[in-house]
Amino acid sequence: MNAVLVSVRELEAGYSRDSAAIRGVAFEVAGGESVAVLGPNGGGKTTLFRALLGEAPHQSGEVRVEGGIAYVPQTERSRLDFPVSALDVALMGTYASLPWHRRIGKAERDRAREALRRVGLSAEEGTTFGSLSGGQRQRVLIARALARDARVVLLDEPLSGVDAVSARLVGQVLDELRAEGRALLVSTHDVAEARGADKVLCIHRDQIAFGTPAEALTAGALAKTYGSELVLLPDGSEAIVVQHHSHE
Amino acid sequence: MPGPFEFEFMQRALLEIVLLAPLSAILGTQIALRRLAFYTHGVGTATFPGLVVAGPLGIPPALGALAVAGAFAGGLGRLGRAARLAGDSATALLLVAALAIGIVLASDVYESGAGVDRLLFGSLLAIGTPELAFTGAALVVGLGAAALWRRAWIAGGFEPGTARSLGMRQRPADWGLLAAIAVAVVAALDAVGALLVGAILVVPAVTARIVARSVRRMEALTGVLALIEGVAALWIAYEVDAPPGAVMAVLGGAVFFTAAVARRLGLVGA
Repeated sequence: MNAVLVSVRELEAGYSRDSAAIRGVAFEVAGGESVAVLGPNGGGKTTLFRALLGEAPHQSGEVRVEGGIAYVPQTERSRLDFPVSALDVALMGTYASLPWHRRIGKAERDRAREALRRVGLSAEEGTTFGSLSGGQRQRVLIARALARDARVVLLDEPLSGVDAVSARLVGQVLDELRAEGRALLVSTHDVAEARGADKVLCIHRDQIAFGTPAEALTAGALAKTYGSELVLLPDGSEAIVVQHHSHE
Repeated sequence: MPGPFEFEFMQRALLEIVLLAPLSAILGTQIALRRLAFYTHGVGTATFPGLVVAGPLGIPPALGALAVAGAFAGGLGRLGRAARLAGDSATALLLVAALAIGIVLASDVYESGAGVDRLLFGSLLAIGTPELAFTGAALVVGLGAAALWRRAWIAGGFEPGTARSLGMRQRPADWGLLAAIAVAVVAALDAVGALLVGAILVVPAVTARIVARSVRRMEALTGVLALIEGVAALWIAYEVDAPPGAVMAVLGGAVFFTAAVARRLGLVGA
C-alpha cells in the first residue's frame, strides 16, 4: 500500500458564509490510486477541487495534501485570444519551481517539452493555444500539470468533449501517472467512466458514497447522487442524463 | 542632437518618453491582455482631487495624485467584493465619485482651476527634473513588480483563477499590477494628461497585440511603438506648435488603424 497523499476529514466548504456547497466529505487517496469524483453539475465536484487547492474556504474539517498538487481545469476557463503557444502553457507548470529572480532556462524548457511529448503534442509546441483543437487544448493543460511534477493531480472532466484520439492519449497518460505512484482525482458525471477508476466518490453537496466502484456505484447511491437525472436503461444498468456543464 | 532636440526642454521631453516607453512595454502589455484599459483611464482621471489639493497643502502634485490613485486602486478591490460589482462598474462608480470631489474642491473650496489643465493635458514640453525623477522611480517600480509577478500575471491572464494551482499567489500579483499601473499613470500624467494617458500606456500595446504571437514579442513591440510614436509626436508637435500628447494620440491611432487594416488584408496577424 502506497502512502496516503490526500486526506480529507469532515470537510465543509463553499463561498458563502451561510451555506456550504459541500458537506461531510471524508476520504483518503494513496499514491498510485485513481478516484473518480462522480456527481451532477452543481453537485460540488469543482468546489471540492477548489477546496483541495486551497481556493475555496473551509468552514470546517481538515484537508491534507502531500507532495504538491496540480490541477487540470476544463479548457473553457482558458482565454483562446491570449498570445501563448502550447510550449508557453506547458512552461507555466514550471513557474513555481523557479525563484523570482531566475529566468526560464533550458532545464524548464526541456521539462515542458517532455510533458508535451508525453501527451503527443511535440509537433505543436509552437502553435498558438487558441488555434489548437479542443482535445489538443485539453492535452496541453495536462502537459502543464505534468511539468508541475506534483504527486497529486486533479482533473476536471478531462474527457468531456474531446476527440477519440485525444481521449485515448489522455487515458494513456493517466495510466502512466498512476504507475508512477501519483494520486489522481478525476471529476466526471459519467458512470461508465467512473467504473474504470480504483475508487469512486459520489457527491451531491453531501458525500453520498466512497469506495471501490462495486461498493460506491450502487443503485441507491446513484439515485441519491443524481436524483431525477438518473435514467434506467432497459437492461437494468444505469445511464445518466448529462446536462450542459456549469461550474458551481 | 538633430533639429528641435538641440533644445534642453526637448531633451527633457525626449528623456521622459525614453523612460515611459519601457513602462508601456511592461505594463501596457498587461493592461491590454488583462483588459485593464478602463481602469488605466479611470485611475488617471480619478487623480483630479489629489492634484487640486496638492497646491494648497504644499505637497508635490505627483504625491497628491499618487495618494488618490492608491486609494482608487485599493477602493476598487474592496468595493467590488463588498458590493459584488463587476470591475468596470466599480471603476465607473469610483471615477464619478473622485471627479465630483475634485470638481467641488476645485470650484468651491480652493477656487483654483490649475489642477484641471494639468489633469487633462499634461505638459510634456515643460517636464522638469522632479517629473523625470518620478517617472524614473515609476519605471523602477514597474520593473520590480514585473520581476516579482510577471509569471503570475501571464498565468492569471491566460486562465483566471488558476495561479494558485500552479503554485503562485494570484492576489498579491493582481494588487501589484494595479498598484504599478497606478504609479505609471501618475508618471504619465505629467507628459500627456489624464485624457491621453492611454496614448502611451494602452494604444501601443493594443496595436502590438494585432501583430505579436507571444507575450514577449508583444512587450518588445509595444516598447518600440511607444518610443517611436513618442519621439515622432514630440518632433511633429514642435514643428506645428501642437500639444505633444494629442499628437501622440493621433499618431498611435493611425498606426493602430493601419495595423488593423493590414490584419484584415491578411498581411500581418497574431
